[in-house]
Amino acid sequence: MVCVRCKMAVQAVLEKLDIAYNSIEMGRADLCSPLGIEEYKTLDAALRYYELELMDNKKSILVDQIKVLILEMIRDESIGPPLKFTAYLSRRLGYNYTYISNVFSEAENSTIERHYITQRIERVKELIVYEEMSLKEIAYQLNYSSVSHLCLQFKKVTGNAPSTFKKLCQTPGYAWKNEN
Amino acid sequence: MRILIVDDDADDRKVFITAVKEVDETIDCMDVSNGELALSFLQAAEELPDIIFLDLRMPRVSGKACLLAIKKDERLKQIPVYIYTTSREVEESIELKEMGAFHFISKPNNEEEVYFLVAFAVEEFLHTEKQNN
Repeated sequence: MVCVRCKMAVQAVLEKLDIAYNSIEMGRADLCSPLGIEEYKTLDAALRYYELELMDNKKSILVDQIKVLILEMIRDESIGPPLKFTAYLSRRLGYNYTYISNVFSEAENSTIERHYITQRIERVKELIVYEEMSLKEIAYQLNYSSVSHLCLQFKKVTGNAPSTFKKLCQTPGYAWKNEN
Repeated sequence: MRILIVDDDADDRKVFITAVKEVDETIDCMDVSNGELALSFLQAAEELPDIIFLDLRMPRVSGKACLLAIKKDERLKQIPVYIYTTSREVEESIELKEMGAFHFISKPNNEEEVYFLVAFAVEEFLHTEKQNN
């Protein structure tokens, strides 16, 4: 559950199934009471329609929480630059960063750092396409050390320079968003 | 910007240097193959590296011993040291951070991931510099 639409889908499902909840946040829903086996199966099936699923494995839940926090960090300018990244994750999740990193790498076969950088590039793409911001404005908003570094990372991750990407987006039907 | 990589594995050093150049070709990346050479290099260097990536399991002077020596030296102790190791031991990471390591990074399983680790570390450093100036 990593976006607002997912949150709304979860809310809709819970209300349709008449399952009482205290709160729904990114990555978790706090139910008023434990689910029975049949309720659990029904809820899981209903969520799968929205390509969501229940996670009852602690490590899977942790990985999902890491992804949610990374998205929050990228979208919330007040959280700050990479300098506070590891401390932020560690504090929010209540685990040592090396442990968090190990769990993520085992589950995803990739590093947290890679995930952070690629998600940040996805945000760069959104800001280019939707907000029509300049690279200088984007670099500032997303806490890149320089426009030059933004461009180098963009090219590495996407294969295209930001200017090429912008031109490609003007092509009808060009699928610019990475849904992973 | 200058980075020093200390690692007894020549292949790992090569992969690391390639990653640094991909992140930013203007970065001056120096490499040495053990802790003893690293300390000699640092003592003699007129211009110190901005970041040190330090392997742990090395002959003669281990990464741990090298880290201790760096942190005891008035001239060297401000340099952030990233422990860069095959170890994934949480206890070891805690111990090394208490000894003064800035960060504990487990070496990734594939070469492409090294780029992202280096990019992340460089961003972190450059941002700190920006905030301090």
